Amino acid sequence: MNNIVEITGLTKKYRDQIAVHNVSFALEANKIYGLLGRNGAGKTTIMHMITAQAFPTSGELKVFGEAPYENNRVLSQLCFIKESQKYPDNYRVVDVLDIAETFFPNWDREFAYALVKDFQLPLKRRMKRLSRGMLSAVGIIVGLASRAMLTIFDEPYLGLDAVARSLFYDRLLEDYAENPRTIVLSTHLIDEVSKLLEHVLVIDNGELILNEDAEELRGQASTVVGAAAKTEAFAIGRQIIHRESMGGLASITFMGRLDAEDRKQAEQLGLEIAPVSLQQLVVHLSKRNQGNKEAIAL
Amino acid sequence: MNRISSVVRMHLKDRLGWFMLPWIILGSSFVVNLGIAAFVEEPITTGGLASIYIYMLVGGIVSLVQTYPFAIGFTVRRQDYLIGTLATMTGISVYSAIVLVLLGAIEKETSWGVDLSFFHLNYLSDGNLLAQWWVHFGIMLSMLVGGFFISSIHRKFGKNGMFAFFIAVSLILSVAIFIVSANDGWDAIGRWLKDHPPTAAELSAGMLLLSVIFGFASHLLLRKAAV
Repeated sequence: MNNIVEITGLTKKYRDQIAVHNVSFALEANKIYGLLGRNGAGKTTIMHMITAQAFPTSGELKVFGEAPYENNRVLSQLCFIKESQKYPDNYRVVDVLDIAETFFPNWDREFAYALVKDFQLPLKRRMKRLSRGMLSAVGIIVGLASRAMLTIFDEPYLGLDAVARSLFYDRLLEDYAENPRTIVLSTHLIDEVSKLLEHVLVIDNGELILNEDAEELRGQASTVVGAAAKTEAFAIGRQIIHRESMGGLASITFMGRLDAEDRKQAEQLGLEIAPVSLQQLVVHLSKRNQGNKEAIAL
Repeated sequence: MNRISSVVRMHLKDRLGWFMLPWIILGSSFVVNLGIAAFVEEPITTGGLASIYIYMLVGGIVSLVQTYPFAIGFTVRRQDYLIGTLATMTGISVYSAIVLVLLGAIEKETSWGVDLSFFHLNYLSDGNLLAQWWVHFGIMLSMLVGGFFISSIHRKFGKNGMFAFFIAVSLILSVAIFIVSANDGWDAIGRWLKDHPPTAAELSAGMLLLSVIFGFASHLLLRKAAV
């Protein structure tokens, strides 16, 4: 069995709203997943349920083949780094690292301290006095150095600048190559992480609206750029998701693969074919989901 | 690797909260009383010792607020968290009670040269050293676990749940007092207590029983408490 997470019909209801509705998916071992979607879409709730920190209203949830609740065989292999992680007030950075070492069986101390240097964290400073970015850096260090078989990062970089974020991506990829494990990145900075992701899950309004290999996904939409009239002509009959124009030039993005015929036609029209960003695709799919919902409501 | 011992270590990392602050607070109360006793002719007995007990009650409340989201967030099993926390509280009570008994013994010999009774008090310190230790231990542990229990109610049911709990407790007490009064029961209770005066050690045993109940109730509350 290669699936380390298996979710079937997972639903979470709060008193007056449904946070997660009938979600099913599986996560395979040793892959980097993107769990994408708008704020409040239900991503965090799902991750809380996977790590047994919140409880499903209905549905089945298996992690490493077992129910995660109060199960140390599962829990000791999980690391969940979330933006809202709390630390004891009197703790210093070094205390968090010391205790994390005892919580996570695969902890790599050397790696942790190398990361502390990379992120220039003051080891002796109290957690309470860290800036938002430094607090995020502590979470990232714990998440990476834990080497947990399933490591989940939920919006891990609030307050981190672009340099620190790219440091995170670099270290993540380097370490992932040496120590393969399953990593879930939940974020709305989709473009930034898109090159890391091997598989993409999109949650919208509590529902799973996309579960697709990242490579596959990239080919599912295309953009053509060229003279406005010719671009429009090329786009006729296609499902347009985005349109931009500047002077006599237009750029049109549409769903669907381009086959050899299409490419030839585009070439003849003097159009350029450009790749579509994952972010655009996700935004479009979320919008379409919204539209479907409204249509059903009507 | 044992995750219960990790939880104990997690608590003990807070040296300030568990090993320094209680004694700083008790110490300042002691110093003030010492000063007063030095200026007063008559022997002085004070209840300054209560400061460390109240600190422990607050410590119990705060410990859950500070460490529960931290530990559960780092995928510690709830059961391990609870057992580790109760073990830590027991250890802290054991050692704090030893310190208090030693200070009481010094006081009994010296009265600190100013006739002050701060650690060695009538009734509480009636028995031998072991009995004295038992009394301190029982009160201390019930304060810690009691605070932890109150915090568990808050964690599970929020502010309103806590209000509801205390309203219910005061209602039950009021009804009990009313029933006793309506039946002219106070005299009978007074007479019974006079005939069977409980020793401090017996009271302490009662407090420990209460701690066990608080501990178990906290387990039920935290079992399904989200983070």
